[in-house]
Amino acid sequence: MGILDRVNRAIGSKNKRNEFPTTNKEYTNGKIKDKKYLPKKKGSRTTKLLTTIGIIVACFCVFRLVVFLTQDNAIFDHSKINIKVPSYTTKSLEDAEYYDYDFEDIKPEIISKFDQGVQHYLISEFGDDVLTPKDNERYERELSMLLDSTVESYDLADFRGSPKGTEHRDHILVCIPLRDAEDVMPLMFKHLMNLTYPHELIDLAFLVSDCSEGDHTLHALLEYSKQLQNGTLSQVFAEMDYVKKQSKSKSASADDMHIKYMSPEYIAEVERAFKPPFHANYDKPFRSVQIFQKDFGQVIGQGFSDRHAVKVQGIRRKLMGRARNWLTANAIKPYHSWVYWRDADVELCPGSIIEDLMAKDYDIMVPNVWRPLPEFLDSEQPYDLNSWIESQEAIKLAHTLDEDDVIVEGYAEYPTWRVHLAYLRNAEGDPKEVVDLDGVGGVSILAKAKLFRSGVQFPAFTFENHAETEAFGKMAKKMGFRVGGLPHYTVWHIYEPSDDDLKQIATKEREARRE
Amino acid sequence: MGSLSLITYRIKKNPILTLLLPLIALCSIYFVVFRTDDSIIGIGSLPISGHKWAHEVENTWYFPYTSRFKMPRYSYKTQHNWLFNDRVEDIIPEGHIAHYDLNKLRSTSDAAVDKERVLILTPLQSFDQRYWNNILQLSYPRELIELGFIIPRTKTGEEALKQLEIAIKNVQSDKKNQRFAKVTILKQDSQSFDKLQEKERHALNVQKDRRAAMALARNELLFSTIGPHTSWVLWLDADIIETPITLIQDMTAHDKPVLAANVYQRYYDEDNKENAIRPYDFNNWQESDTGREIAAGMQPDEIIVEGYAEIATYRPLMAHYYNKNNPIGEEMMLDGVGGGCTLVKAEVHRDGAMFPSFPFYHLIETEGFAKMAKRLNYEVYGLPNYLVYHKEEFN
Repeated sequence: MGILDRVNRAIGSKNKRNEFPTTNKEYTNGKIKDKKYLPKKKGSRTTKLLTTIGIIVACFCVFRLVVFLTQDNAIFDHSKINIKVPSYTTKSLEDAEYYDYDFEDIKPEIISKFDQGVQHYLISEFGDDVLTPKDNERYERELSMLLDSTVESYDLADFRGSPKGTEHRDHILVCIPLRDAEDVMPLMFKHLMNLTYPHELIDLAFLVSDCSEGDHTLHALLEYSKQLQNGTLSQVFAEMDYVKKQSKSKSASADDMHIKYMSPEYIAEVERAFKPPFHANYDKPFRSVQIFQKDFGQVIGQGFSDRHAVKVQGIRRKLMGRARNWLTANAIKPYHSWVYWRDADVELCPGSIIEDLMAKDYDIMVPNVWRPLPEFLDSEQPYDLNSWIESQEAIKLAHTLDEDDVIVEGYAEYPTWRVHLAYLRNAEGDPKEVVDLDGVGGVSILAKAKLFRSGVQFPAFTFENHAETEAFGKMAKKMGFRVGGLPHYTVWHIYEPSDDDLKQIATKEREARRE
Repeated sequence: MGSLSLITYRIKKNPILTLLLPLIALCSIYFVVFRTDDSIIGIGSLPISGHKWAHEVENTWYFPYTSRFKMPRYSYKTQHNWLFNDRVEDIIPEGHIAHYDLNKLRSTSDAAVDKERVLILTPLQSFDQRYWNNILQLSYPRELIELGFIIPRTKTGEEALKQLEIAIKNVQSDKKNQRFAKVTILKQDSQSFDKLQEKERHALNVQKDRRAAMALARNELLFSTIGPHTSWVLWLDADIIETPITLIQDMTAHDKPVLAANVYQRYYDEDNKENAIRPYDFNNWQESDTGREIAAGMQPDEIIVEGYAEIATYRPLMAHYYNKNNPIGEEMMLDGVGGGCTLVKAEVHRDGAMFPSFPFYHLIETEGFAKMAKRLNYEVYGLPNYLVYHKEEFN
């Protein structure tokens, strides 16, 4: 009843009837004004689409603009770096030494065949049948791969170390302790790449310990190592040096003030040393890089004055001995024949140092270590006084000391009257001349690995009133090994101005500016 | 399908779209997938086509002024297994780079739960099947045990090596969960001591040479096998044929830097016609005043050895402190230890404690090692009531 009434009422009035469109013509002749019955204007959808796209593109451009303006990394125009690297393809490393001993290729799919045990495999594969010779051969090979994955067998007499290490293919472990060494890292890596001893026989081991807040030694080390093992580290350094030169021409920093006072021949020597061309295998990756991280809780600072006060020397040397022992214990493997200990802050050193130290077949060998000084301080000075020959006075002095006292060289408190390797140096002498020593310094030591395997280490306790590298030399001598040094073969340490030196340089600067 | 027809309808209606839509599509694909500049999508500085997983990407780039990508000059052949361990957080496989955080290495009293690796080291002069069975019976999880053996270059050594290799082959090709984590077999480089009959090898005058040779063998074995994942080192002689199966768990529970068990020997007592036990290892002792006096009067290169009437040191020997009524976990402090069954925390060895082959405070080999550990400020303990048994010797 209700609906019918409503419909009748709706169509009842004639006026209303006229409003509803009845024919198509009434749509198109403009009679009907109600907008909702009119089709949309032609083309407006396209404009809408175009406007949305236009808005998206505009947003994108604004975003890029904002990013560009807020970037704090200098957008460096790489085309400005005028370093042309001739094009090259990636070479695959084929030398056998990269893949021997614990780097053998063990295929997991073959090993996993034996997960249920060898008996189970044989029964499930072959049942009760006897294996054919071909199958037997394959089975033997796979079984030996399985055993190789967990069992290692070495004859330690094979790794005694020979003076002709390159021909004999002796593996060498290079150990470098690092602490707050971020700034010297490019220098260290340049020296490592410069080693002419075959890189496929060198295993690098770094120990990063007790870095101060805000130091990025570990992170830098990882980044540089990745580039090193790719073979692209020299390109990175070329670009870094180029950028430094560009920025240096604009401003001089306080750190480099002392360079003005160094002897110009030395500065020229340093520049020449790091310029290309380099030796043929400069970029070749090393056999492995092992980075160990361990904090020992050292509280002594790494600044020059902190390190050298005599009272803390004993404690400091024992802690350093402990750090060195940790590195050897973890990194040395049965197949290493030699171990080369190296400090990170060496400035000038020949690339053939390992072969030169090996050549005399001593069990421990060290070169002479000096450092350059400003010209007003005689331009050079022995740096490492820890390599010496024992004297009677020192032995008598040791008897008067406590069990825990550590004799350190170069301080008036301990008059030892020893002959130091450093003072035996003659700049024109024969670099192959050897001298027998009792104590050695730690800047650059080449030792046979069998010493470490026999128990010789860097004592972290007072051993015969010495610690660390000097006690290392003493212990080796006690166990019957030969310890030697090359007095005329010099390695140059970097020069870090002490507080007194800086004061002198500052006064000289002021005088120069007054003129 | 419906949307496709809609699109075609729209394109038919507005021909400009035929030009615009493909252009827009291409541009967006290019920007998102291939452009290597600043992160558009926020994935990082790598395009999707070169995308790496989170653990492969470094957080920050260290060289701000150099071009970021350089083609590597050299590449290693694909390597599957490296350095015999599968701890992903340590290895950066490209370029043979490994990073070990030794600060995370711990030696706690809950060794098995904490998954600490134990290295069992044995200087092997002759292979005894009972010794091997004892090792196989240890209940400590095998994937946390590594074995190390060093064999002298003598005829008996060759025999022992053959038998050892057969035994190792059997266990390492067994089911995966039965295998030890790693086995290292070394042939000694230094000269070994040849006289092995019990009477001869225990004569006083040869002690210095014999123990010096043993010390060198132990050092060679130790420094060749200890690695960045080792938490404990258990020195077990090849003559120890019987230990409790929970040996490692029991000894690590004490959490001591150096801990020695009491080595006894089972024998058949002829007088009482019964099986009995008697002390065997007299190298576990505490220092006595007489001992110190004797040491003070000796030449620097002389050594004191225990158990000889010629050198009466009157030291309290742990071997005589065994009391079966006392608790089995009773500890006592020692000044010298023997190498029969001694558990050492790896950090003690890493700090430099080794077995001196030269007279060290008039001590040598394992006793010298205990003295060295004490000089490094570690404490040395023994378990007088915890027995392990040496094999019987009939000569």
